[in-house]
Amino acid sequence: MKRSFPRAFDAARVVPVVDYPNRLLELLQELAPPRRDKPVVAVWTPGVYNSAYFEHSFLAQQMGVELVEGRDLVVVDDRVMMRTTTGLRPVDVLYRRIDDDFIDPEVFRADSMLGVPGLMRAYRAGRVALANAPGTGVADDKAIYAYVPDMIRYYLDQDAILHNVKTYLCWREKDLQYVLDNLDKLVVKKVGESGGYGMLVGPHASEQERREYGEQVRAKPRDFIAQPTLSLSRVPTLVDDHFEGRHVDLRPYILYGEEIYVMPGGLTRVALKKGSLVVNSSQGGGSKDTWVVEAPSATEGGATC
Amino acid sequence: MLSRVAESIYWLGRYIERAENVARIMDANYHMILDLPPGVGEQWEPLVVTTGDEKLFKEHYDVFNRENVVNFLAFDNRNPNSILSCLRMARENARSVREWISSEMWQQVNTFYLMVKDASRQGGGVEMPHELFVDIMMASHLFTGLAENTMTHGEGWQFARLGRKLERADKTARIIDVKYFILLPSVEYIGTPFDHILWGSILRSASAFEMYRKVYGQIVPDNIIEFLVLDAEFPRAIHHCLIMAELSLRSISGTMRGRFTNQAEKALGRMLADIDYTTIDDIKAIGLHEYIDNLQTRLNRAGEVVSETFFSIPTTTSSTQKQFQD
Repeated sequence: MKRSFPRAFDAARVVPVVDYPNRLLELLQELAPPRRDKPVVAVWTPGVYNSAYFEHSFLAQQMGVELVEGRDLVVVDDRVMMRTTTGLRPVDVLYRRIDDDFIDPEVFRADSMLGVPGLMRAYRAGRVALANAPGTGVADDKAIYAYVPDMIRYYLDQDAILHNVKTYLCWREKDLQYVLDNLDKLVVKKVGESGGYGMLVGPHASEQERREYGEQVRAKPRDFIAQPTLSLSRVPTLVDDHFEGRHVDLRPYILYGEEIYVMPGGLTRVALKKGSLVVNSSQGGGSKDTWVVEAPSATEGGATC
Repeated sequence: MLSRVAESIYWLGRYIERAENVARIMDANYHMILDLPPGVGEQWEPLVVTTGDEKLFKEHYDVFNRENVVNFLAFDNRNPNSILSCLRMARENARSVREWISSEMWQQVNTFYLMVKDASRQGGGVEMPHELFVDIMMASHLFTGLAENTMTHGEGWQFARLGRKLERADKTARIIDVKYFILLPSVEYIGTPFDHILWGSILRSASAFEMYRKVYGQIVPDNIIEFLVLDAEFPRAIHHCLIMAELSLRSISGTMRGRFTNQAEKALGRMLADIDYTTIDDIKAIGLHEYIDNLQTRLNRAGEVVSETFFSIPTTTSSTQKQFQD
């Protein structure tokens, strides 16, 4: 966008996002075991065949750190080392973009080809930092979402400023009954899935699809949550030679280190199919440039897509 | 630098160079055929023999004719040294080191690969092979030029050049060796204009014809061998390739000339020292084919030692990918 429409970019007073890699690097360096002045940070990718490989490579390049794969790493005396042309070199912080299950075949999945045997030993010994820490993936479980207001109340004794979307947890008898009775109004999702897989958009589904999905939910209620079908915002989108409205959502980027940094921008995902509410790229969704515009008076601000 | 990264950049350099040289060898043969005396017939077998993939060829084809050989050397996926296979491997290696090479280089690898893939779909350019081969050589030059001018000449770049020069030394040796396998109708042809045509086409396939003329003038086989093997300044001459390869190797480890700190430097340094003091008479005393054969064996060994020294750092775990090497 910046290259194609430099003047529009200039006129719109877009807040730059180039600071993100720097902030990320600082955060990662803060995590390092307190031992060395200049901690060695590396981005850990599953490899070139991962769909997010470009992002891993881009981040590593922007931060000026090594992009490593499991086979580049080895654990010696509880230290994680990189195999380099001049021998083994220690690593202090790994920004991992690889699932818990695969990080260490000695502890987790034994058949992992992507992992590093002994990594968890080094981690327990405090000789390497992992971001994110093993286990944080639990936050990806969609059921966690329902409890967020309670967490805020518990830890901060406050009510959430941004309200949750009403979420039904299907293993609660009452919720389950409501979900099954109102499948035509709800969006039902599998808690452990992502990428728009295994979900039912009730109002868009056929009678038969709803019936079949309802049976799945009844069989394993713990695996499902449901939410009312939201009317996601729509933005003009170029379709062939004209504009049409398409549904979007916004994914913010927040770094939580010694302080919290919210990147002034984000990823706007757009459902390219007409009327669709599924924005995931794996389901044919696209993305849009996301600008945070500096308002003339510093008090106002807003996101535009 | 990570061993895996160094290895990928090294192979990226090698594969691009290999693709270019396969095109060179075929292009030279096309030209040679046009100039051969009537009744000699087209000779395609020597090309496959010099690439060292004769056995593989025979598994998939019956006869050494133009169509089969061009297809096998240029487009066949079953041949790991075909131009298309080399470019696919170059691309896979480039993909895994995108944050090290320039985006211009990455784009050129893709453009190059897609160009040859398109040609392969459109019947393989058997009709107009010369144009295709020239395009391939130019695409390779463009890549090398981009590497020269858009990538920092640091460790990664040195590995790319090391790979390229070792590969080129090997391929120039093979180009010279083609002559050994070309069959003339009888011994009387040796030393005749036809023989000179063969030698001329060998020079051309190394883009060496004009530069040779500047130095020696007349087409004299001994001089041609001297030029392609022993010249220190011509960029495709084996001696020159080894000088540059050894220079890259020493830049990587920071070792002074005349010393060595690892097995790769020892192997390559020794080889270079040998060729530094070799004359055409020495080569003739051994016999050209035998000399070239021995050179190739040593080049292969040098490649193996480079890999052992820098890419397979001994550790408890190993999942080192071994790339194809002929």
